[in-house]
Amino acid sequence: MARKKPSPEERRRKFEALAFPHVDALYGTALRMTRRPLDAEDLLQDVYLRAYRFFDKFEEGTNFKAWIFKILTNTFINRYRKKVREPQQTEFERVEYFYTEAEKERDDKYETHYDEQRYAGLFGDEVNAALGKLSYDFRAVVILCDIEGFSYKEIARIIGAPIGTVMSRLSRARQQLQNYLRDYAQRQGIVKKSR
Amino acid sequence: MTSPCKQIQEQIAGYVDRELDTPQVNVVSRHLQDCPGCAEEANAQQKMKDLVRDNARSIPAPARVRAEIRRRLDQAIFGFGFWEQIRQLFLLQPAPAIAAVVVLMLLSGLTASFVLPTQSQRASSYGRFVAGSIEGEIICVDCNLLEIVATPYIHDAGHRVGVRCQDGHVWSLLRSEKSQALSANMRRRVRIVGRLFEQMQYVEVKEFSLI
Repeated sequence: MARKKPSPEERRRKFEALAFPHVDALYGTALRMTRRPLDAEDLLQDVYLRAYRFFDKFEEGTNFKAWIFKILTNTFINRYRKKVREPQQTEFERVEYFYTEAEKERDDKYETHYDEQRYAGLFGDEVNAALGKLSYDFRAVVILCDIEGFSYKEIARIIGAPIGTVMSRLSRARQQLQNYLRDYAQRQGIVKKSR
Repeated sequence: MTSPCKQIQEQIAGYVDRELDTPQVNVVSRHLQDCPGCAEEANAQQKMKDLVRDNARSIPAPARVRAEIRRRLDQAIFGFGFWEQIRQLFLLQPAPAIAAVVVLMLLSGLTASFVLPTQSQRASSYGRFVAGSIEGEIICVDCNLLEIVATPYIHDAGHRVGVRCQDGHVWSLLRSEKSQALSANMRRRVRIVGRLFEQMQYVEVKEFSLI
C-alpha cells in the first residue's frame, strides 16, 4: 500500500472529529426520511458504522458532509427496500405502528407507513407535516437543498441522479408542497386566493 | 402555456436556488419581467423554499445516540469480517463491484477448467499465515454481525462458525470437518491450534480442545 496506514486510534480520532459534528443534521434528515424516531436512530448508527468502515475511501479535502449524506441516503434506500420485501417487525415498540396488509400494499416502494399526526407531532408544524407527505424522491431533494443547503452538484452526487433531475424534482416537490399547504399559504399571503 | 414558458418553468427551481449560470439567469429574468405567470411561479417557489428553511426546526439527536454510536464503533474495529466488507462494497458501489464479480467469474471459469484448486491452495489465497493457537468462545459469525450492524446477513453456505477471543477479535473458521464439529458446541470455550490468517481473521483448524 502506498500510503502509510494510520493507527486505529488515529483513524478513530480523525473520524470522530469529522463525523460527530454532523450528528444532529444527520439525525434530523434520518428522522425526516424514516419519520419514526426509533428507525432514525437505527439508521444513524448504521450510517456511522458504514462511514467508519469506508473512511479510507473518503478523499481528504473533499466535502465530508456530502460524503456521509450519500451514505445516509444509500443506507436508507437499502434498508427500506429490504424492509418492504421482507416485512418483519418484532420490536415491542413498533407493534403500535401495526397496520393492515392492504395499507402496506398501498405504500410506495421506499415508503414506510406514514402516521401524519405522529410525524407532525415530532416537528410540530404544518410545513414539516406537508414535507412528510411528499414521496421519498421529492422529500430527499427538498431536505438536501433547502434544509441542509447542499448545491445541486452535491445533491446529484448524493442521490445518484443527474443535475437536471435534481432541478425538476425540486420544482415538482415545491409545487406539491404548495398544494398541501394551500390553506396555510393563503393565510400567510404566499399564494393568491383562487385565480 | 406557450413554449418559451415551458422551457423557463424547467429552470425556475435553478433560478430560485441560484444554480444557473449567468447567461441562463439573464434569459430567465428577462422572461420573468414580461410574463406574470412565470413570475408568480418563481415567486411561489422562492416562498416555498424560504418556508421550508425557516420551519426546518432541528431536533437534536438524543444524547444516547452519540454514546451508542461510539459503543458500536468500538465493537466494529474487530467485529467486521471479510464478507461484511464485500457486502458493504456492493451496497455502496454496486456497479464496479458487480463488474468485478463478472470478471472474476470469467477468470475463475477459465482457470478452473485447467486446474482445480486443492484445499491448501485455496487457503494460501487468504494471505500470509502463522501457525499458532487461539482461545475463546465459539460463536456464529453471522449472528454476531447481525448484532453489530443490525442488518441480517447470512452467508450463502449458511451460518459460519467463529471464535471470539478475550481481546474482542472474532476469527472465522475455514470450513472443514473439524470446524463443522465445533459448530455443535456453540457458546463453549475452546482452544484451537492451527494456521492463523491474520489479515482475513481466518483460522484453519488443525486440532481443538474444548475447555
